[in-house]
Order: sequence, then structure tokens, then C-alpha cells
Amino acid sequence: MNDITSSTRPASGAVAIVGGGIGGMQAALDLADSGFKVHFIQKDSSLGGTMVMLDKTFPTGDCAMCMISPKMVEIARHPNVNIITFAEVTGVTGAPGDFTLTVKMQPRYVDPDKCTGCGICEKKCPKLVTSGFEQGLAKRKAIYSLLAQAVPNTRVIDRDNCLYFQRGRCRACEKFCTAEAINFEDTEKEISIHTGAIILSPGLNRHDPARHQELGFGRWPNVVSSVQFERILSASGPFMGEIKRPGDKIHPRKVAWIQCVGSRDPNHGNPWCSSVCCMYATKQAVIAKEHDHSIEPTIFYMEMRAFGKDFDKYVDRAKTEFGVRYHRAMVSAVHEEAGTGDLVLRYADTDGTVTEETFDMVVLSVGLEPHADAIEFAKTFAITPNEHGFAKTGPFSPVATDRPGVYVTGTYQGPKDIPETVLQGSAVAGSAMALLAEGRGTEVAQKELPPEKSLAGEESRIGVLVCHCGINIAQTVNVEAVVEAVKDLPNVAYAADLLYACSQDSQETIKQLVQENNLNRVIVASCTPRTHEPLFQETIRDAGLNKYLFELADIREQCSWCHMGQNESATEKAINIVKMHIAKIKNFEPIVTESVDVTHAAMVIGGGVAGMTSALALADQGYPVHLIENEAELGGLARHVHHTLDNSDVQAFLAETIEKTRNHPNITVHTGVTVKKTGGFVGNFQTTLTDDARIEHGAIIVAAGGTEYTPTEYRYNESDNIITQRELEKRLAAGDIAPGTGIAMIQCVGSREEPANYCSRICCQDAVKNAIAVKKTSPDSQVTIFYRDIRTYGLREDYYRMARELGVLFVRFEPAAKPEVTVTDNGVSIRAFDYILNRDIVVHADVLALSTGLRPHPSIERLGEMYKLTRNAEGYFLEAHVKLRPVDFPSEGIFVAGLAHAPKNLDETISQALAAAGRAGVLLAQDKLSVSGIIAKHDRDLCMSCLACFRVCPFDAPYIDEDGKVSHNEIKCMGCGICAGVCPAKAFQVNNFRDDQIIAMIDAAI
Amino acid sequence: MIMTEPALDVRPAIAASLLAEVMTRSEQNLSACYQCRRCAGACSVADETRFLTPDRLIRMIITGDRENALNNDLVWQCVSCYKCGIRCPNKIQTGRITETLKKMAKESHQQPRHQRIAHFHDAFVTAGVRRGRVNETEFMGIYEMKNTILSIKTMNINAITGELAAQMQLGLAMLKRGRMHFKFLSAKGRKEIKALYKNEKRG
Amino acid sequence: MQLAYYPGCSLKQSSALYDTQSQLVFGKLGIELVELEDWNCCGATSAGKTNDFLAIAMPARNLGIAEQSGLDNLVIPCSACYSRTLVAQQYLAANPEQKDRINDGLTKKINGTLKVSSILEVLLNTLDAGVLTDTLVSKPVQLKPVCYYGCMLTRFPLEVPVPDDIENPTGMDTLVEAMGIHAIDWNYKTNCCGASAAVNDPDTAFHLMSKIMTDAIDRGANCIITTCPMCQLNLDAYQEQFCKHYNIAERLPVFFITEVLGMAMGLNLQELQIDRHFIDGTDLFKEMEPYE
Repeated sequence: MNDITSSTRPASGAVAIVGGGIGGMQAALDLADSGFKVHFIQKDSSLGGTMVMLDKTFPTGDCAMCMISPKMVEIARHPNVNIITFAEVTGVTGAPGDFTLTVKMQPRYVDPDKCTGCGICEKKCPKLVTSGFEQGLAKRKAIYSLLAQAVPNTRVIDRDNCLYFQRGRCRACEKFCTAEAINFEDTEKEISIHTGAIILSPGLNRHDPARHQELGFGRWPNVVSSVQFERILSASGPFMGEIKRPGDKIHPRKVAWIQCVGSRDPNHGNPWCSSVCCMYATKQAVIAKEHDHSIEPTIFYMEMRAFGKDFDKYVDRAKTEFGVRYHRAMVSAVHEEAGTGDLVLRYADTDGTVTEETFDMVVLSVGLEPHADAIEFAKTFAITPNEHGFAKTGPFSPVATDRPGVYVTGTYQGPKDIPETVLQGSAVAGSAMALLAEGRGTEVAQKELPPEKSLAGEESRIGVLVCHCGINIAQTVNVEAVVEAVKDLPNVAYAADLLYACSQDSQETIKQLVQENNLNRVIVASCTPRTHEPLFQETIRDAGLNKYLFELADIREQCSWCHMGQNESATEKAINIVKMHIAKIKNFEPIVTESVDVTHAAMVIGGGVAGMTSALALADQGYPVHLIENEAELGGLARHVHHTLDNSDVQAFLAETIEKTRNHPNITVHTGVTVKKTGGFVGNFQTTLTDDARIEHGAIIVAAGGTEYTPTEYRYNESDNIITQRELEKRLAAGDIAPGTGIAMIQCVGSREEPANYCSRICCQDAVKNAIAVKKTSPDSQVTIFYRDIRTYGLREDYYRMARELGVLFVRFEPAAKPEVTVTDNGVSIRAFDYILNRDIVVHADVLALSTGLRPHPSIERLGEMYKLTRNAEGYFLEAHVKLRPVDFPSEGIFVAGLAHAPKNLDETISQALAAAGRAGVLLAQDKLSVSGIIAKHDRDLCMSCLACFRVCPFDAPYIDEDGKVSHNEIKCMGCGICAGVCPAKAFQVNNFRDDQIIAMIDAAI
Repeated sequence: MIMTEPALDVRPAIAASLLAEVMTRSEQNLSACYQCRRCAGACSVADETRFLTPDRLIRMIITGDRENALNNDLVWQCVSCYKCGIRCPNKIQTGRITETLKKMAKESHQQPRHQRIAHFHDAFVTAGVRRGRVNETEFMGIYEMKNTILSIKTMNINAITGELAAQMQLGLAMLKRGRMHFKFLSAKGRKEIKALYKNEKRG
Repeated sequence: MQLAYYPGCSLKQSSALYDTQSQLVFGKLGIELVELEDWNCCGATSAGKTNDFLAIAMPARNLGIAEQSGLDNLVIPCSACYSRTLVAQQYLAANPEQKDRINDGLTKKINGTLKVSSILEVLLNTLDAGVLTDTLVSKPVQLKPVCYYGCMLTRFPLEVPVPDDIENPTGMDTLVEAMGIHAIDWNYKTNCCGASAAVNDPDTAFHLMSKIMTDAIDRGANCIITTCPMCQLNLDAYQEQFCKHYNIAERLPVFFITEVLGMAMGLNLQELQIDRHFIDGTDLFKEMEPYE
């Protein structure tokens, strides 16, 4: 990591982020929210990256666009973010704290300042062009926006296809543009930008499946790439969410996925594992099945790499609940049946027989590659790429490049999924915050809000906007009919429909409507308030209304999605839902919210690598940190790890980290103690430790770690020659393994089986790492690894190959037929069925190492109860949102990092710890926090102090005041409403969920 | 079928030497195999060799099963179409491995599992080296002679007559279409090749 | 223009028609094929399977002769000969010691400068140069061919640069399309026909050929076009037998690319010896239309 504590500490308040996908967006928001100016440079004409092309994301099945769109809009209107699209960085000079970037901007031929995003130009453009966004399955116009929800919400002319540019006539767009935004004279521009740090997030390229002609892509029309299949699944895609095969638009029944197209294939593609394909194929199979129950999905794979948190469970569900068939064999060729367009796949069956099977459609799971510009990027920014073209990062500094002040995030660092990309987005933000701590707040603008309109004495004038959500809502609910049904109701001053209520141009429309129609309350009928309410609240606040005069009527999750195909009754239900919200919102009043000061200090629970990394990152940001470790020593589980997979020295790193932690002026280390009690609330916690030390802090990072399982399997206790993988590592480090020693290893000991039915993620790499170490020092040693799936995901695949080439024998087993271990006079012998030979084999070894799994640390249960943090079935903490909030908890002010969240490798723990520090940094950077308006209001005049509320409140908000009667701490209140439910005197009423409001809804419904 | 076989006892030293020999002679990196079985689906003769596909052949060598590795249908029935190797993600060209194993089998004086196939290729090379060019009639003559000797050894007279009848039929058809030539082809350069070969064998 | 020419044993015997056609077609293109002096057998697949040394040494001698002829491009119509010769060249380039040892025994030494071309490569060059199109006079309009490349144009026992897509070659299709004939895409372009097994392991060979035939018929082809004399003879001479065995009703003539080209260039059936096939295809050249 860069030395950020040196005396030449740079001071700049601005950061450049290059690459506008989800990783860059997360970094932009974290930095902008914590007082940094962000220059956000994107090569495409819109923010979005890869995620916007996806239909739904696993495991929740949430619509990808619906998750990312609010973030895009948030960035678009963030006063601290300067979005520069259609632009590339061509040069960088300077040093940390003082970089100058030269940015070249392509001509758009549309002036974004004048453009209103109305889209008339696109309608009138006569030229159809194959759409790259739709993967060639649909057409777009020569003037277009990348996607309907593009940010910035404007268009761009595709010069190569524009009739005017190519043939000198047309100019239809210009003729019809009332805003006079079309500018055919537009030219390339160059600007320069000053920043203190640079974050690179260029994203990924997808492997071109046409390079594997035996699989028929581009040749047989019913063979599609996995990205094409995402578009086919997407409601806004070329077939509007209907699953049809491109060749003849017939609904396929049997659909096959072929994994590893271009991945793990040094002969035809890339040597690395793309990390995400096993799970996206599983998701696509599940969603296809949800769309059309008659579909029979089969996934052909070589190793199921469901290594992430709860991934195995998702695969199990795909098998058992959705009937997805998994076949472990690679398909050698895809033939097309003459006449039918069906596809014949040839593959080996489990016993080795070569079989042919016919499918209606084939999806090729294409892998991830570094962005096409990756190498150019490395040159421009003067950083070193690794051998595969990704950015080179260190084993203990996963987001830092070798040029100080330049960071990388997401798939530029290696193949990874959305949560890990988001997580690294926060991690780079945290790193930049630490680097530029002194510049924080120096270059930002405060958003100027118009004064809130007073509603005194005003009638309710309600605006109702019904969203199509593309066709997510509109294909089931007759949106126009809903508008028609409510527009003349009393107090409804205005009603209309919107294609995407959440898009950036719709926010402008809503603001305009509020002003033009003098609206004082707004209802948007669309999706779930969980993701979208804050967006619309901010919009009406911008329009001068109190933000709580807003109501979101969910007609998607609660209507169109669950009543698909029942259009008439769904429309009727949607009308009723909207009517209920109209009845409710009539009684809304502006809510004035409090704000509280923030204690600019953090407490980190857990003194392992995660805890220390978070503590150091926050301390470098300038915040005092209290680090709590229950053991006498810092270091956690890493104390028993000697090397990483790439043979870096863990003990040296650990010693250095402990030293830094102990000596950092901002860090107070508390060892041998635990938390006795924490009171207070976000921004203002007070904690007492078991040694009665008292700490005041604004944020908590829970990095309580994990433990290793002690095996009972495979005769562990019957022989000294049977040890754990960690013990083997220790012996290897100590030089205690004699040359020529035969070593066997068994994987998944205490993992992926009840009662711990999850992948421990680290064991495959540990086995491969130790096997390589043995083979390198003693090539004659026979090393055999018995495994279920080798999960050396991402760039770790290189080491799996290295181990094989060094002569390590890999023998696969199924849980139903585990290796049989016999203790012999001079060692052990292991018998297992070999699937390729189709017969049993016996291997003799001097030492058997069991790869034991990880377990959550025992303290996690207590911490969970203490801080009201939920855990998954295995006892790991559950994050606020598995995709987009990977280090947050639903309880504000508390963050998670490391093994307490799920099993992970050291570099991933470090990333997550930096991310937690980044997220906590956002909170601690605030001078004041405003308390949510949706809280319970307590009427002391009605209260009888019966203590019913006191007993049930999960957040300890009601308390017994000095006068012996109940009072209510509104800052602690989370608005859950339990108190309001139990209070016999009706002394508690939750804002916007008051009894009169709910009763009005009920009346409207019946 | 193989299920009933006793367990294969993996002996590291034996396995290592077999693997090393095959790897050196075939110039194929067998240990890179990760058992994906793409080669099995690619194999042109998989329908004939049944369970014996390239993946299994590689595995036999890696686990040191010398006996089965040198004596199986794939080693002989492989048509050297090289599809397995073209498809292999790890660039293992099993076509080269079967070629190597044929030679190793011959060197260890094992009787070829498919003798007619062995005769065919031997006859071709014999004919080619003898005249410098292959005369189709001469080559087929050598081949049939080898088969006949084999059939006499095994007292299979029907095989001899059947074989001759079939070849005669084809020969006649070829003759009728002007595709049979009796002018003997030869190259003077055969001496150069023979000398080179002799030299090579001497080492 | 002159090209060094290696016909190989097959083109001097059972596939002599291919030799004749090649000479005629190249003549029309203004290219003289200069046959290597005292060339020898390439060893074919059999040497590859039985003798590592001969597999290299036999084609090596021919390479030496070709290089010393002073011509820089050697065209080899037979796929087996082409494959073995190219492999020997690649092998010797990568193993200079072996090259020196073989050179010691050769009158005409190899240095490795020669370009070894398949017949397709050379024909495609004439197409690119605009020469080929000018030679076309009458279009065989009845042909509905599939192009069959076989194993040896794209797959080699060691890594060799291939001037076409290995899994889906299109060079022959391009040539056929240049003649105004639609080449039907199909699955079996590069599958093995089992030529080397036809005599010694007919079950295997017949099974392989039956699959090739079935797909060609199912796709509506009325003939197969190839460049390989092994494939041609195999699919042609055994067609009756394997079709009967696999209950395939239709029969498809198997043409050399030079036959189709020759006809399009205005040569006649007899000159081209198209009447020498087992499955007669002469009817498919009844209707010819002039090129515009």
C-alpha cells in the first residue's frame, strides 16, 4: 500500500474515476458523499457498464436495471460529481495529490445542455443500425441513447451510420428538435482535470464466442451468447422478455448452457476462470424456468464453481426446486440438425460413453476478459499490467497499483461478480479518502435546495404518475386505464403515465409537473419503495415540496409480477392500490426532521487482518479508532497462514500490519477484552468494554472473524499421519516434511455438507498452494488431491494448472462415495472411485492432509444479538443487500468485513476491510446526520406509561424518563411501528403510517 | 465392464516413468489434463472404441496403468483425425499419444490388438520405402499377404476368401473406371531415404 | 507463372484424374505446375503412426528438391501429402539438429525457405488477384454442393499456422460462391471420413462416412466437393456399400474442386475425366449458363 502517513502528505479534494460501471459508480457515490469532488470519466455515451445489460441478478432475482438506475440518477444529480461521458483520458502527469489528466471528448453532435431528452430525434431518424447494446438481436437508430435510462439523459449521433454524415442529406433530427440541441458542427474537445487520486474502473470485455466455431456461434442461429440470453430474458430486450430462439422465434423447450467458453482454455481463449459464469448460467436457467415453465435447462460444465456466500445453496435450489439439470462434461461440438434448426450436442456421459443429445437452443457462457483498452490504459496511467493484461495489484494491496495515487477496482483487477465489484468500489473510495484525508471538503459544493413550500391551509393537490417500467408493468397492467381511473378522483390534480419513472428525464418531468400544476403531494405507482422511494423523495424536494409528501404505490412486485397473464384483474388491483394510496396521502403533512452531531471516531471489533486493515484505513483518514480484540494477540486466523497462493509471505505482512496498527497515533488497541454494552445510535454510539473502558464513536465495524473446523472425519484422530491442511502448511514452513514424502489431501472436510453446507472458499487454494510447495522442493513426492470441484476461481486458475503440470494427481469424488481411508503401518492408503477410469484406484501416502472448512467465530452470535444484526443459516452476518450493499448492515452505522461475513481469501478480506472503512468514512465525514422522518411520534399526554412499548422495542427507543414516565428517543427509533401496534392508548403514531392514514386506505379498498 | 476390475494400485514411480516416456515421445503435456472430457466428444472413433476415449487413455497413463494403456482399442482404431487435440483446452494432442503408444507396444513385442490395422500401416510404409513411391497394387498385396498369414495362423480360411473376394470386387470396379494403374512407380531417391533410415537406426 | 508441384502417389494412380484436372485448371489460370524431379512418397498417415523418423525424413527429401528447384511456392493438391510435408517443414524448423542430420544424407538440402501451399490456398490467391473470375465461362447451375475439407487441411499433429478457421473453414466455400454456386453450410466440413481405415477397419470408416452423407443429404445437397483424393476415393468408391449398410437411399457424386472449376472454365467432361467416378455426377453438368 502507498505510504500515506509520510510528511509529504498530498492535499487535494478531488478524485478522477475512469470507467462508469457499477464499481466506478459506487466509488463515485462514496467519495462524493464524503466530501470529495469526483470527476467521473466514461468512454461510452452513458454510465452503466455491463450491469445495465443484465436482466435480473441472483440470488434475489432483482431486476438489475431497477437496482442500478437509482444509483445512476443519484450520481447524475449529485452536486459533487462531474460526469464526463464519451471521453477518454489521453495523458496523466503529476504525483499523488496533484495529478493532471488530459481528457479527450468525442463529439456527440447533440448538446447535452440543450437536450431535454424528449427522444423525438430518435423517433424521426430514418436510419436503422444493428444495436450493440442488444447484442445484434435488435436495431437502434443512428441517433440514439445507449439505453432508455441513460445518464446523462441525452443522445448521440453515430457518425458512421448517420445519413447526413455519410451521404450529406437528411438532418431529420435537427428539423424536429425543438430544443435546437443537434449540432452537426460538434468537434472533438480536449480538457484537463486536476485531481489528487485516480481510480481506474474500465470494466470488462466479454470473450468473443465466434472464436469457437465448433460451438456454432454466428453460424447456427439458435446458438446465442450468454449476454444475448440476458437481453432475451430482459423485459426491455429484443423479445420483450419472451424466451424465443432467434432463428425462428419459436419458444424453446430444451435449452443447454455450455460453460467455460473462452475461460480455462489456454488453447482457444483465456487461461483464467471467469469466476461468474457458473452462477450466471444457473441464474439464467432459473429465470428462464420462471418465465416459461416448460423450459428444460441443462448446464454442461466441468467444475461447479459456486464458491461465494450461499452460492451452493442457490445451485441446490436450481436443481431441486427448478429442475435444472447439471451435467459434468464439456460439450465438444454443436451440430445443427438440418431443417429443424435444433442443435445436437455431443458429450461424454458419466461412465464415459459418448452421447448425442438434441436441444432447441444453446447458450454459450462466455467468459470475462480485461477491457479492450486495458493495455492502453496501463500505458496512459503508467501502471504495470499483469501477464494477462489485468492491472497488477499486490497480494496484500488488492486495489492499489504500482503507481502511488492510482487505484483499480472491479474487473480491471481480475474477473469478479457484482458484489465484489461494488465492494472494491467502496474499497478504492476508502483508500482515496485515506490518501487525500486533508483535502476532504475543499472542493465540494453544497447543494442549494429551494425553500420548502408551506402547505398551510392548502387543499390536497395530488399528482399521480403511473410507471410502465418498460413492459415490466405495462405488459400485465393497463397503465393508461389506471391513469384514467384515478385522474378524476377528488384531490387528484394531475395524473399521467411514464415509461420509466426512475429515469433521469422523468425526474425533470416530475419537477416540472409539480410546478406547473401546483401539486403538493405526489404518488408514483411503480415498484418497491425499498429501492426507489429515496429517489422520488429527493425529486419532489428539489421541486420545493417536503420530501415526506410522497407515496410510492407498488404495482409491480405486488401486482404485475405476481399476476402475470391475468391482465384484467391485475389492472383492477393496480387501480385499487393507487386509490388506497390516494386516500392515504390526502392526510399527509410535512414532516420536520431532526439532525444530530456525529462523533468522528470508530470502533472496530476484531483484531485480525480485516479489523486491522479497516482500523488503519480509517485512522489514515484521520479518525480515531478503537480496535477491540478478545485474544491477547492481534492477528486472528492469519497467524497460522504462512504463504499466499502466489507464495507471498503472510507472516511478514502480518508482523508489519500489527506493528503499524500498534504504532498508529489514531488507533487505540484494546486486547483481551470484548464489548460489554453499546448504547446510542448511528453517529453517536457509547460502548463499554469488559475492562470497563468507555468509548464514544460514530461507527462500528464488525470484523469478528472465523475459526477453522476441527475434523472428526477420515480417521483424523486415529493416526499422527493424518493432519489438517493448516498443520501441513505449518510443517512445510518449518521444513518438517522430508523429501520424497507421499502426501494425499482430501478436500471439503466439513464443508459443502450438512451441517455446514457451504463452500469454505479457501481450501482448494490452500491445497493447491501446499501441493505446489511440496512438488517444488521434492519433485519425486507423489501428491494426490481428492476433491469435489477444484474452485481455483479467477486468476487463481494459473496455480491449479501449475500444480497439475508439476505432477499433482487430482482425483474427483462425489459426496455419496467419499474416499476410504485406511491407516497402514507406514502411513495411510486411500481408495476412491476414479470417474475417468471408471474404476477404483488406491493411493498410498505417508501423510494425509484434510482440508477443513471455516466456521463463523463463536462471538458472532452474541454480537448479532447485541447489535440486532441478522445472520444466515450458517451463522455468518447478512449484509444489507447481497448485490449493492455488501459491507453495510440494515442497521445504520454498522459495517461488516472479513470472515464474519463469509469465508474468503486474504486479499478479499483486505478489499472488504477497506470497503468497510470507505463506507464508515462516508458516515464519519458528515458533520450532522439527519434523522429519518419515518419514526414513531410519542404523545406524552395520551401515554399511561404502561411500558408495553418499552418491552417490545427492538431499538430501546422508549425509555423511562427522570419523571418516571415513558419518553421516546426519536433518534434511536427506526420507525418499525411495533410500539404503535401494542400501545393501548394509541400514544404512538408512526409518521406517514398514522392510524387515520391507514384507516383511509382500508376505507378506500372496501 | 471395467467396473468389475480390481482397484488400480497407483504406484508413483511406475506412473511417473510411464508418463515421462509418453510425454517425451509424443511431445504432449499430458499432466495438464483437467478431465473436462471435451476430447471424448470430439473423438471420431468413440462410437467404435466405446468407453475408450482420449480422456481415459490419458488417465491410464497418468495413473501408471501401463498394461491397459498399451493395449486397447483406441490405440489402434484412432484414425489420427486430431480432433481431440484441436478441441483440448490444454493442447493435449491425443492423436500423437496413440501414435506413440503404437510404437511403444511394438517395441515391447505386444501383439497389436487390431492386427489388420497394424498390417495396413506397416505395409504402406514398407511399400513406400521399397520403391520410393507407394504402388497401390503392391501395397495392397503386402497388406493382404500379412492378413493371410495371420488368418492361416489362426486357421481362418473364410476370412481369407472373404477378404480376397472383397478386395477383388473393389479392384475390378476401379479398373472399370480407369482408376487402376499398373505402370510401376518408383523414385531413385529411395536409396537416399533408405540410407538415412539405416543411419538413424544405427543411431 | 510457375509453381512447384508435388502430385504424390495417389495422383499418379487411382486419382490420376485429379492430376490431369489440376494441370488443366492451372493452365487456364496461366500457371504452370512444375512437377518435382524424382519426388518420393510422403509417408502419409501410416508413417506418422509407425515411424517417427520416416514420417519426417520422407517429406524432407521432397522439400529439399522443391527448394533447390528455385521456385518458392510448392503446391500440393493431396491433403495427406500437404499435411505431412507441412508438418515435416515445421518440425525441422523447430528441430535444427534433426534438420542437419537429415540434410547430411540429402543431395538436395533443405533450408526452410519454401512456402508449402494447399491447392485451395493457391486458387484463392488467383481469386483475390482477380484472375480466376476472368476464366469462368459457363456456370453449372444444377450444383447444390456441400464443401468437404476433411481432416488434413486444418488439423495437424503439431502446431502449424492454418490460413483458414480450423473449425469452420470457408476457403472452398468462397471459391464455389465465386463461381456463382451456393455452397450449403453443414456440420461435417472437417469431420473424418476414415479413409485410412476403409480397408483395415471398415466398420469404423463406414460409420464415419454414413454420418457425412446423411447430413449432406438432409441439407439438400446434390453433390460433395473436396480437395482430398483420399476423401474423394473413400466417399466415392465405398458409397454403395456404406449407404446400403446404413439404409441411405440417395447417392451423391463426390467432385474434386478442380472438376467444378474446370467445367466452369469451359473444359469438358471427358477432358476432366469426370466420367471416372463410382457415383456418376455427369448429369449435374447438363445445364450450364454463361456467366454475365
